[in-house]
Amino acid sequence: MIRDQLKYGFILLLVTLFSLKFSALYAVYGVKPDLLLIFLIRRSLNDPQPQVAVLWGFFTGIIFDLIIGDVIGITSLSYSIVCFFTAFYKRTTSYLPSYKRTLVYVFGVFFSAVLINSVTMSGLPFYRNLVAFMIPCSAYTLMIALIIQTFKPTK
Amino acid sequence: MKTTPKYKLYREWIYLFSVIIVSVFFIMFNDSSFNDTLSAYGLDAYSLINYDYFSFREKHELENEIIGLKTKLITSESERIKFAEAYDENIRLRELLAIDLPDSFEFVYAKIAGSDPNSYVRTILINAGTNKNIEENDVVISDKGVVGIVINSGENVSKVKLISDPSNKIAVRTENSRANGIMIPAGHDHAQIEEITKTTPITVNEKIYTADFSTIYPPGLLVGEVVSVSDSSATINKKIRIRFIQKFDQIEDVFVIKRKSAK
Repeated sequence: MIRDQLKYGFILLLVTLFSLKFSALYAVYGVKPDLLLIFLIRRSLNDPQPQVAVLWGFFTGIIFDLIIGDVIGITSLSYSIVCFFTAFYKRTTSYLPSYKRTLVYVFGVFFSAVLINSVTMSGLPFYRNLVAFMIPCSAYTLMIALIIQTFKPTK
Repeated sequence: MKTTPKYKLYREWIYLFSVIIVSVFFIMFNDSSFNDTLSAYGLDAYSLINYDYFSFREKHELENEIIGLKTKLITSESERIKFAEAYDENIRLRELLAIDLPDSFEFVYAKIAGSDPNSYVRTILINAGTNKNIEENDVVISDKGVVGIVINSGENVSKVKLISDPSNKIAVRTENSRANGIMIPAGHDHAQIEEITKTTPITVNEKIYTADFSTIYPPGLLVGEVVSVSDSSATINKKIRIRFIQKFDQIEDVFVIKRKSAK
């Protein structure tokens, strides 16, 4: 149990460092995927305990916000909610067919993009925010998430 | 029979609402000194694990860079001598006319310690902090123009908000007509300029600089260039779209400008 959490913590640290240092390598026209969110959704699907998932989401988000975030608290809020409901939904069913799992990613990623962008990019009108940031970021994040899911499926 | 206490049944929901309340608290007090202090601790913690993994460069790349810099240095030096004379003359005339002297600046060199990891964030980290006297609202530039302003400083690392952040509204002026307007970022690499009337002549590829009256940005820093101009707006103002000169994903070295007010 503790070993698993330590393993997740270590991977999370690596993902954070990787995304802070090398994000320019995988940026497409300035659009970058949210690797931390992919990791957290996968973690919630693998270990569907909402009370644990929500804490992982919160602490990951708040650390991220403190290091590089502009509006402190928004990433933690978004990640907590996504992790909680992903774990909550996964717990209710013993087996998730692949289309339902894809839908979990779609809802999680898009919800997170809408919530975070609406606050951090509040200077832009909503429709422009949607077209310029929310949809491209969500699409890229989903693409990466589904590629990882294909090669290394969650439980 | 032993019954489960009610709070245990709702434990996960209690967790969720607790973290929501804490997060909302952080968001509501985003500009508070408490958040700034926490953020400074976060930056200090990051500086412990921040390591310049790819600082080495190929020898021929460095040689080319040195040759380029030497050439630039000689050209700049000859220009500097010309400007120094004009500057001295300007100062003498200002003193005669009793006009305020212009501010002077000093530059602090820094390297990029971390870039925005996803598209929601328009901030970067630089490896200079309070140890080099970096403070909030110090302007960060590179050799290509304005990068952004410092929003938080740890001891060794500072957080810089890029000028492409849509929450920015920056006073700018055009190169030829010297018309002042407000620049509002509208995407990763472009922005629009408002408050320039249709009667003002603006051309495509015209350079855009920071305005002379900004309290934060020093005047005359290159921001971008005009990519399209249109009079189709229903208002009296032009629709001007500019592209940032700076490629924010490719910045490696920056300078933080410290303003030294003239007496």
